[in-house]
Amino acid sequence: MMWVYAVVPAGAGATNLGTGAADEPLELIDLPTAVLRAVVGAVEAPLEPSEAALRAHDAAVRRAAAALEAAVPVRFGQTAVDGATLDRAIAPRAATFAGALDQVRGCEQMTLRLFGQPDPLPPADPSLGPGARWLARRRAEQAAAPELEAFLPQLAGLTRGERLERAREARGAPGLVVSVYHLVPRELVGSYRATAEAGAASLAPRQLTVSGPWPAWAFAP
Amino acid sequence: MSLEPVREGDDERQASLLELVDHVLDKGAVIDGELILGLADVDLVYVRLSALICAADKILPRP
Repeated sequence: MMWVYAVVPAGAGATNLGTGAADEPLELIDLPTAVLRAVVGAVEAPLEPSEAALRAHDAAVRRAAAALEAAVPVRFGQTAVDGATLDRAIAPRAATFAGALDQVRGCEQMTLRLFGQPDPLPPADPSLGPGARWLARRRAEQAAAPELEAFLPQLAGLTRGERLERAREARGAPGLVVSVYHLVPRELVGSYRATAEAGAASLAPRQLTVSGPWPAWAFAP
Repeated sequence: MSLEPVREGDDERQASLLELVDHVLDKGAVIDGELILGLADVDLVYVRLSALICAADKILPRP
């Protein structure tokens, strides 16, 4: 069984990728139909998602991203019987993977998370039907954390990509409000962090956390 | 899954685990769609194909 860590460009090469989540040697294999390569490791059985295994998977992806020109991280738990099977699975999306590799090349991911009390949602309009009320609520949820609209442009010149993810559940207690994932050219990571941390006070009383650099997890197809 | 329960007040570990779970379990390319996980003290959604694992925002730093 093959545990998959990352998809990388065709022709990508590295001398030593280290070991994977099961301490197995990592290797690069060709995906000839997809015209890509993959970082994989041979395992006996699917790995249990322990904290240690998750960290080891992330570490393996980090090594691949550092050693190769570009790498699209693969989610924990993805396996294939062999390289031919993996090639057939990826080939239909080869162009999408190639586009993602172009986007993440030379970049790291930085992650912002805004925590605090969620914005109260407006009361439902009783004149709307149930479907319209649901859509109105969804629009209101998407508009949560408007203070980000003033904050994020401060980082725009330092990023090459952005993904926003609202917290998936409305809740009454303070918690995660929104996550923002940025692709940042490696040489700008320090400036990005300094700018983000300097601007965090403007988001009070909500709290902003800045983490990274990460492999480009949020920019994988 | 054999995640240790995160103790009250262990903010740094909670935040680190949030980041790890979100990135490694909820992001990244999906090659094959069927994936079932069991995480102690974390709610999970059984995923298939393009569905998402919703776990990260269950692990919150204390404000």
